[in-house]
Amino acid sequence: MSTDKKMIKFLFNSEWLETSVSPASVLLDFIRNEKRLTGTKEGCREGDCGACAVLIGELRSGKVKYKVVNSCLVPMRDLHGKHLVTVESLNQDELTPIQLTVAEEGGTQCGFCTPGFVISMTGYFLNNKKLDLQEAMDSLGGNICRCTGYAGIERAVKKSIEIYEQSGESKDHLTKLIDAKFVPSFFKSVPKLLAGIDAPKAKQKVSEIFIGGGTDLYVQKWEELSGADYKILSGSNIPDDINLSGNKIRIGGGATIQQLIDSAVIKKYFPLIQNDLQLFGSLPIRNRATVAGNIVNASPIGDLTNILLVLDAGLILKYGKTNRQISLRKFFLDYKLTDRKKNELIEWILLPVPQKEFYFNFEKISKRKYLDIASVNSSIALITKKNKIIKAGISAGGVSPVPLFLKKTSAFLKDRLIATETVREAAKIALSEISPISDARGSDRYKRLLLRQLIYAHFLILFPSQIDETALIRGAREL
Amino acid sequence: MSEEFSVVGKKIIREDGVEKVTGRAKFADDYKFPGMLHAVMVRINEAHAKINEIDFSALENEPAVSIVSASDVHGSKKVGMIKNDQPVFCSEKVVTPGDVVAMLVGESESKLRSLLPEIKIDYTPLPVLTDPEKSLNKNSVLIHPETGSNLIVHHPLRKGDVEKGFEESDEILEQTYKTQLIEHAYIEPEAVVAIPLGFSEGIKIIGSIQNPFTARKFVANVLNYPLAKVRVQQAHLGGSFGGKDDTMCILSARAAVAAIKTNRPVKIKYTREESVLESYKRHPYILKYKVGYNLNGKIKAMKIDILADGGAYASMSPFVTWRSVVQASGPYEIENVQTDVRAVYTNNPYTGAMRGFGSPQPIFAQESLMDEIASRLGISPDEIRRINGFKNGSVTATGQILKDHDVNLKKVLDVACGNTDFITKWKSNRDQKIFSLKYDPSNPILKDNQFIDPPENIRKGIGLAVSFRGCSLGAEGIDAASAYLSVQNDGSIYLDCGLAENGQGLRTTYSIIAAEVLGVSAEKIIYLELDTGITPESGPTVASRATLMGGSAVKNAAEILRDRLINLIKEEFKLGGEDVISFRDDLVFSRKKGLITKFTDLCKLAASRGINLSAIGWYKSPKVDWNEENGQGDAYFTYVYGCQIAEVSVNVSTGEVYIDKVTAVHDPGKVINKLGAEGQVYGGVTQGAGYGIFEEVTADNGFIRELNFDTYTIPTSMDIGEIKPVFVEGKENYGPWGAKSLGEPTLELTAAAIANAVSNAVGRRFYSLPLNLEEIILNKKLRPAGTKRGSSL
Repeated sequence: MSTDKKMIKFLFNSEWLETSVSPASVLLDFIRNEKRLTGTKEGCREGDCGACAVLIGELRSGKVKYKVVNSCLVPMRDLHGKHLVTVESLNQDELTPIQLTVAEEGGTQCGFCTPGFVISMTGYFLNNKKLDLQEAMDSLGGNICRCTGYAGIERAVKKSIEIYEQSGESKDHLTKLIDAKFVPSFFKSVPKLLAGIDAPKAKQKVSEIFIGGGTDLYVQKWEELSGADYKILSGSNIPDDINLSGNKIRIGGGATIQQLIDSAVIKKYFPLIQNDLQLFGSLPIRNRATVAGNIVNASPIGDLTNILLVLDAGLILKYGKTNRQISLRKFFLDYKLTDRKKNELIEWILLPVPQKEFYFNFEKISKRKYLDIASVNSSIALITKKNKIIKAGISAGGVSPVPLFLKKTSAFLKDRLIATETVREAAKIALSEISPISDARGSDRYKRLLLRQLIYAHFLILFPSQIDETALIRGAREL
Repeated sequence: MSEEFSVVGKKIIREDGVEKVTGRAKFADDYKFPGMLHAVMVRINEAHAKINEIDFSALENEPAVSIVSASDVHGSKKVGMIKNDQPVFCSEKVVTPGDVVAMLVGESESKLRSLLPEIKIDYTPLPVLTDPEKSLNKNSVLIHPETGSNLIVHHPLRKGDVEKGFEESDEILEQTYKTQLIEHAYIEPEAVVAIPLGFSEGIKIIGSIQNPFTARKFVANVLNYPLAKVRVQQAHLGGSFGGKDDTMCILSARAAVAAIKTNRPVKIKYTREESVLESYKRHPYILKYKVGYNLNGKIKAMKIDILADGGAYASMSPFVTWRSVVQASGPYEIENVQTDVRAVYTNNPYTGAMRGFGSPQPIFAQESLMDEIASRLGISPDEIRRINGFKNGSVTATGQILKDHDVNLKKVLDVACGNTDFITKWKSNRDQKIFSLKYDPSNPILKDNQFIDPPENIRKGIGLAVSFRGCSLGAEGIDAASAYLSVQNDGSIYLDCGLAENGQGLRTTYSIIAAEVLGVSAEKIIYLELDTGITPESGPTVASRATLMGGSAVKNAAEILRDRLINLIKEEFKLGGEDVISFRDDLVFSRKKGLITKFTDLCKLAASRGINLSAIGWYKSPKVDWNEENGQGDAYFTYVYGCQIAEVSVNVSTGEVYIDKVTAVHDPGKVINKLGAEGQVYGGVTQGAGYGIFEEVTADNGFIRELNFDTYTIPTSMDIGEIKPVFVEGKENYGPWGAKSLGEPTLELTAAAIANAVSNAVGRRFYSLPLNLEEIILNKKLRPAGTKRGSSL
């Protein structure tokens, strides 16, 4: 081994830290066991409760962008060159406005989830100049509390926003936050400090397991992973930007779901997808989960793959210096089995730029609206000319062993008029293409029923004036 | 009666708020001691099996690993809250998958976990009993053969003559209801550290323990130590809701056995999966109701048969089901009642105390039934409850006359209906054009004419539920509490009570009470950590008894000290015996002479005169009584009343249910801690809503499928709409200034109110919880296999 074993260097709260722990070991364990800082809590170790939330700041074009993440799912390697913020570093001589209002408004009872909430709220304030109560509450969707019913927490957010808005004018957002005591003053010097860190020094042993955001792998087998040296994907070896290249939108395999939501390119061409992607996990998960990871995971009920299938995504798979392109619709072979060869990585995801008269809709039915796995989900993308469908893609999740592109249904829809008859027939064909099984998310019958309802919903939502539901009902009676 | 309060009922910040928002509050897993070892559990992957041999030989080359098992237990090998049927370590057989046969103890927790697969256990599987309805069959396997039966307990109640009542009724309705197994889902998993103090001093336990005195009893029994040699200190408790009692007592005992054996501090810390696997849960109930009523709405007779799945151990089942037998016919005056509540053993996860404690299940049944009767009679839900509901002087099913307090049932109902415009909304929802959702099993697809377009898919519903609830332990057992209060020379104050903080904020409530009596600000009071070595025992923090019992003890202690100070003042300032001395704003006043002195100066004076300014306050509950044979008696010394109204949106094409608003009207007596009381309502309603629409632990042959929060979904901040707490403060003879109970009433009503609201939305009744998706659309559980259901289709 190299003599210089301390390969991971980062800013731990206000101090530099270099460590030789395994790059695949878990950040939460490092914080609690190595550093003995116990404000960060372990509640579920699978990114569902937010008790272990921390902020990770990354230098991007001169500014530090802070993300809320679940430290139970973050490998230490991803800390290099970053600023780690735990609840302890927010503590100043007096409480921050967030801490104060949480205490004052009954936002804490047993207190176990509280540091995680304080971190997530602080993350919201760091990331948003224009503050909005509903948006702020959305950003807390990944923190669960069993005591308070969230009412006191919501009041605390509301009051904190008022405190921020009533604090004096400052030349920039960060200065204003520091002046109003939301974060300590050393945050000011963080960009300069992070700029001085070099790329990781020592070469890592490369194993055959790749870890992207780790939001599924660290749930499945953190104990196994944390002991070993694994090649961990990050911005340095796989692209994470989202850009326009010719008539294709290119999404780097390392891009996170939240990057997708925030991307100007995506906003421009798929303005509604942001809302749909809000149903994809919580903010801390979206901040870590990668697009490529979601595809490789091949979950039959994945929300993102369901969407990408109808958008006719292509994948560029890379192995060493060679690469090849494959349509996502051909990528899923069987349950959790994909066309990916050993050591191949998804470098880019390519989406055709949508043409005129492009329509898209996504529907998901789950027990809990947010942060839940769907019973059935479905996406549709259509290109129309006047009242006619020129091109169609429709997908269904949770009804087969793979994320399913409904080939026959899509083919049927091509060149049809947007009409009640078309919708009814399309739904019938879709039901002939699926093979749902009864499981925790519903019986096969229920899933069939849901898919039909979702296909109807797609058209009723996209073409309210063209589809006459009364005719749909009456027509059915006549048949 | 109008009493002026200066602290009581005001918004006071939690006394531990600062510690908690800064992350400085220490929870059990945050404690670490020099030389501390970790312990991990050895289990058998079976729900019911006879253990033949456990082969630890693979660990022979691991000298740093100690094995701890039943042979290391020198005291009681079996423990339990009521019956001693649960082994600390199983040595003969396991009766549910959470059972522990041994522990590995060593330096590194991850190393120990990696050794678990090396241990070879030879066992013989036994027949697995999972259906409580088969539990009492003659040929069913006995879970605990030494008991001779799978019956844990049977509570009968007989009032009047139900058969005669049915004969006199115009109509009779029979329904079966079914409620599900659910998990407490406190966010902090279990953790405990046992620290050996040497033979003469005994052992110290620090843990996420709901009831330190119960844990002390368990540890002392298992170690065969006198109580005084076991000191239990409570760490900050990361949520409990009734759930960190037996489980934590047993974990404390296991850690203690290991600490004594290794002579090192030993920590046990559970993962979420282990927590869900081993900890006890809320009882699933099967409730059969037969009710006779007249066309004028008057209920004549009610016959109730309830079966509770106690799972593998008795735990608190006898008490949980006792509350059910008292309250099963609801807050209604019924001449003839016959109730039988039984709890039985199965190989399922065991069930015990959980916030609500045997009330949410019958409330779901009885409130569904009342709405159904109202609908059959063509009257509104509030009307049927007005006709039958308790009023002052009513006689309960147990034959108790309700007196000495305001029986506020109708008042909470009126306030709730008034607040929500209930009648108007209920009628307009009922008269919505409802598409038939009748399901034809031969054709799983809805007919096209059953599809409604998205905006029309959403149906609004409103529903209400009412309850009465006995306060504190009732005839379950001895009910008394104590508090220690010590005023220092400078006027600062120490306070402690034997009832343990569970996160709900009782320390703040107690500080408010002491501050009110002594006329000081609540911040002046330093609340001491509960330590069984110092604090007087007060029974457990359960049954929504903390404010009522502990609060009364605190008030008593404060009044003792105040009276000593009054005597001193009268002497020193030569005030007449008839003068009235009052304490407020850190000052002391005489009615005749006005301001006398500052509180701080008075304390200094008292010290200089050698006055004892420390006191133990005590409160013992009034007498209750119970006849086990016929379920008659004064079950609780007082009651609280509540009404919740839920407003929901139901998507009738998918079965999704959204909760738009819950209005919660409660009569908790005097509200002492305003912020805390409102917090109880928000939290209780949210938990109740989870019970109503999301939460269910399903077990497959005894094995739990939902072991973490990805599958066990509890409400997030995005899931529940507005919650509106309203307090109706009734007059009460007992409790500090008439304060009684609130924590559990807030939870027990919500699922029932939601069920009635969903029925109002879709025009159909439901008989099983939780209510969502497939349950709404197809009258089917999401988990299909073998799940018993209530009346259906």
